[in-house]
Amino acid sequence: MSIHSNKQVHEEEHALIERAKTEPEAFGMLYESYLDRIYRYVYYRVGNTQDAEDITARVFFKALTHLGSYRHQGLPFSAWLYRIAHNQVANFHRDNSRYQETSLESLTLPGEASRQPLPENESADQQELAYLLSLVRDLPAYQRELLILKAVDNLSNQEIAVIMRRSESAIKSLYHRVLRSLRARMEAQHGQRNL
Amino acid sequence: MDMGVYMDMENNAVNQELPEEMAVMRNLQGLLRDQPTFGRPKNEFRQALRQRLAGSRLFALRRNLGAIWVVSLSVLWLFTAAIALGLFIAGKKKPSAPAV
Repeated sequence: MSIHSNKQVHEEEHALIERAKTEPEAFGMLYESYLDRIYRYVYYRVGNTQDAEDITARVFFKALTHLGSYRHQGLPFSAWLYRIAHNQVANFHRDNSRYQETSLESLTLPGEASRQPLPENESADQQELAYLLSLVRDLPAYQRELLILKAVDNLSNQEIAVIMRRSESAIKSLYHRVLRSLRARMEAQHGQRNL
Repeated sequence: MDMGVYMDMENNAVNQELPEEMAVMRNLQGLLRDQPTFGRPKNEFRQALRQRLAGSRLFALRRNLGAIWVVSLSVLWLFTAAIALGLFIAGKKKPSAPAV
């Protein structure tokens, strides 16, 4: 997308946000644009549908309440929404003693649900994915959040920096470091299997 | 791999070979996006929440904010004027002669 059309999209969205302050239809359009993304982010951080729905609803009500004071500062509206979601998820984990940050435990590997025997080469891939998943599960919460925002939501470093309240360069280097470490550990595992 | 190459990759530079780390990321993307519940809130939830949001009184409140503001200011102004007038009348009133 060119810079010009990107700017146009931002301006259109800004106009929609202004209308959404007073018009339910305009807010509904914003809601439809972002519901899936916000829900997905929340789902991967709380790990079950019921809590994900509850928190997603709270995020949108919070957004509606504070939309009047929203000021466009050159960042996508999504970053503002994700920031609200980030805070709501943090509140949820704080209020629940069962601290289950980024519940990847409930995730399944592709084909795992069907319990079908896999061909040998696919089985090796499955093993690799299972190991990757276990590595991601062992990461500190903020690193898992970064990976979810990158892998699932495809957000830019700038947006993630706003959501996680860190500098853009800190996010860039953290992301690089996490991926490099995952890769190194995957290779080590691969090497062990080939011995 | 230095950071420069990595940043070029982030900008999707054409014909640039993917760094090895990105293979991990692609695997992770596949893993998370293959989940049965990926990205799809239930339809009932979607509809119900949308209706609850649309029914919020905040929209009407914000739409009428101008009118509410004007009425509040008018009331405040009238109240101030009434107090000022009261004080003025009280000041004009001649003190009654002291009883002898």
